[in-house]
Amino acid sequence: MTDRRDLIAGTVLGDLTHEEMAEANAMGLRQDELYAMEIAAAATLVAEVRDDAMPPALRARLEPPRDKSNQVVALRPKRDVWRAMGWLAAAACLAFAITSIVRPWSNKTPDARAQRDQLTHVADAQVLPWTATADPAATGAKGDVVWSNAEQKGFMRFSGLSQNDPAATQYQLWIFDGDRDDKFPVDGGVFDVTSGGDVVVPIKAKLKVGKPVLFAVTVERPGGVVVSKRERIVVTAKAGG
Amino acid sequence: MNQEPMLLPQVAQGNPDAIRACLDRYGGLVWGIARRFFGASPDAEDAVQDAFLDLWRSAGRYDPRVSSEAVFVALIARRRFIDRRRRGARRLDTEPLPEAQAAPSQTTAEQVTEAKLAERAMQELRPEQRQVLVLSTCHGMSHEEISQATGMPLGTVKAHVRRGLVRVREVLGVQR
Repeated sequence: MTDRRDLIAGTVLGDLTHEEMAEANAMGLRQDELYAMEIAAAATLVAEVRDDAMPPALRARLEPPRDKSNQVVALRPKRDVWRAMGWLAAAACLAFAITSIVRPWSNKTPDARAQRDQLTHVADAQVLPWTATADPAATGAKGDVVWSNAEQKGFMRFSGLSQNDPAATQYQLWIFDGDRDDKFPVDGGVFDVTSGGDVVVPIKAKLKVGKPVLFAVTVERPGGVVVSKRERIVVTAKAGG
Repeated sequence: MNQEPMLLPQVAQGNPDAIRACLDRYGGLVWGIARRFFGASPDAEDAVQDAFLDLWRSAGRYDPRVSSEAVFVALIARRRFIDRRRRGARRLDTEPLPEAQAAPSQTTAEQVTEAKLAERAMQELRPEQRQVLVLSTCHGMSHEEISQATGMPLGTVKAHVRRGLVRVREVLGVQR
């Protein structure tokens, strides 16, 4: 007979077998028990997932109309909301597109570069040099990774790392965390190197990093992977103890 | 030790400023969860829209004695994202409780630390147990997908996820 807590967890996770469903029905699991387990699942999300900036167009679609502040708005059904807000989304997209066109591309790199340089002044920031492996893409690759654990923020800098074809492969960063099994490093985001010269790439850690011990960049399929087979590791940087 | 002002009661009243503030405060969280469930798929944006619309509708059911707002928001988002991923499959029977059943167990000060408690519970888990729980709850991966990605037997994955979640619940001490 399955433990009651197991059945509650299985119900919330949606992984009950037919036999377990029958057991759960016979046992009469209560809504309050299920809700408490759901809260636990939601708390793990809040504990583990880092905030990501929402795309401006999406944010615009969710915004209530701005015509009269402090006016109470009706929370309309989905389709009406989208229809009503469509023009706002379009306006946001247009503004974003115009900004992108008007702003010279060259301005983007210094932004990341300036942020990287700024981060090096944070008290706990570590600047770790890359060590290239024997992988052909890494021949002559140099650079470093800057990481602040307090800010959960970092940047990678490369020179000489081979350009990739984003349709065929992408680079992916992995952060090995002393608080986690080294079989499952934290995904630090995928990125491309599509131009020569120095490249600065912001790190997008998908989970909170406890004690970073090693940063490693692999070559993966487009979009990246959840767990790397580590067949092509191009550079690594060891964190100081 | 807290605390930002609560927004959901005002959201429930349809206050547009509260809705904007809610998007400011929790938009990054919901989008972050969506990105883990759906990656770069266009589904992520649709799922976030669903989640917030559901949140606007459900805001009146939020009970600050039971969870923080952030956890309530994550709970709503998780439901919508699971629904979207498992469309066609059995839906979770997870309607919020009526008021009468809400039996608070946490003090106000404790509410704001529940994510930290969950984090502590996660730290207590064995690394492989923690990893599969993260892949399940934070990435929305099925046990089969986790088994394929990690090489762990399916039964082990299932046991790790369930026991891990039960442990987090015990540490949180949510008594309903």
